[in-house]
Amino acid sequence: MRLAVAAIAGALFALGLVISGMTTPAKVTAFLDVGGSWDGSLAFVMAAAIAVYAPVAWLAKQRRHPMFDTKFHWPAPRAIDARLVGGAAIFGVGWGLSGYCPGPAIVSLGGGSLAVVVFVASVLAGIAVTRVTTARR
Amino acid sequence: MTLILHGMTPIHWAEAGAGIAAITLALLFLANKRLGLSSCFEDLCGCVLQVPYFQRKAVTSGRAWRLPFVAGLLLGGFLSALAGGGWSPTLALGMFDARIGLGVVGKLVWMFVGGLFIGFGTRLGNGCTSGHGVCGIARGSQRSLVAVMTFMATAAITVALVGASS
Repeated sequence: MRLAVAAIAGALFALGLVISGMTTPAKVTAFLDVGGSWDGSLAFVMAAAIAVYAPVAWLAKQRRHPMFDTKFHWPAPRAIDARLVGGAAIFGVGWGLSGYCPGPAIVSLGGGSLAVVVFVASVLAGIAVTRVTTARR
Repeated sequence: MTLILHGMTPIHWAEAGAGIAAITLALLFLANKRLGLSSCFEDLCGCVLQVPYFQRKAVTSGRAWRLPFVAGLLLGGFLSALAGGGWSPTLALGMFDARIGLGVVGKLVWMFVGGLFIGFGTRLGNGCTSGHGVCGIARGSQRSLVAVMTFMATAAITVALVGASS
């Protein structure tokens, strides 16, 4: 049952990514092409996602604990450090180069873009390299 | 600024974004799961690599829902292709065919390099477009805001340097 719920959520999430254009690298790079012929439509996707999520997150924060749990599982607050900024900067370069970010890549693979398997494999390789070399718990 | 909306109004794009947020919220509220795609990738890594890092509880405890979620992503991509005119697996790479005149090997190398940057960057910065971009910003995390502004900036610079698709 729980497996099915997670899988259905994944399928619906994939649908959202496809409809939004996040699975089309040309669309993504057109959004990132601020200096050229900018296509701003993905800004509406992100703005709407945040507009839906934010009020609910705010309401949730007004409670002492979630409705069905004894405490919240928010990520522990951490400082804005060089690691965060550096990591985000490197991720941005990869996103600009490929036009894919991790989620849409998996969706595209399911959609029949077989060459994306190379991309997925290299993301996995990048993660493995990071974790093995930085060895931070 | 030119809005290339394929003849569709901003509402179309906003609906897709609202749907993405709704699914993320549903996971949070129904199952108490914080969705992040790069963490799903990390989980996949843990299935193959028996390095202690990937066998931590923080990684493996989510496996029971992350793996089916990833399977759902694949299924969703497949169904979307079916709905959009039929599933026809291809080795073509869309924009890459036009952008990089290096042949098949060159395109694959290009994608491999892009993927390495993404794998490395998301784990160093603890998130990507879903975790920082949607969940993090929406719950008011300053770290996520900084991360998103940073990766948007470097991505825009990268596109400006290598040239956009069109």
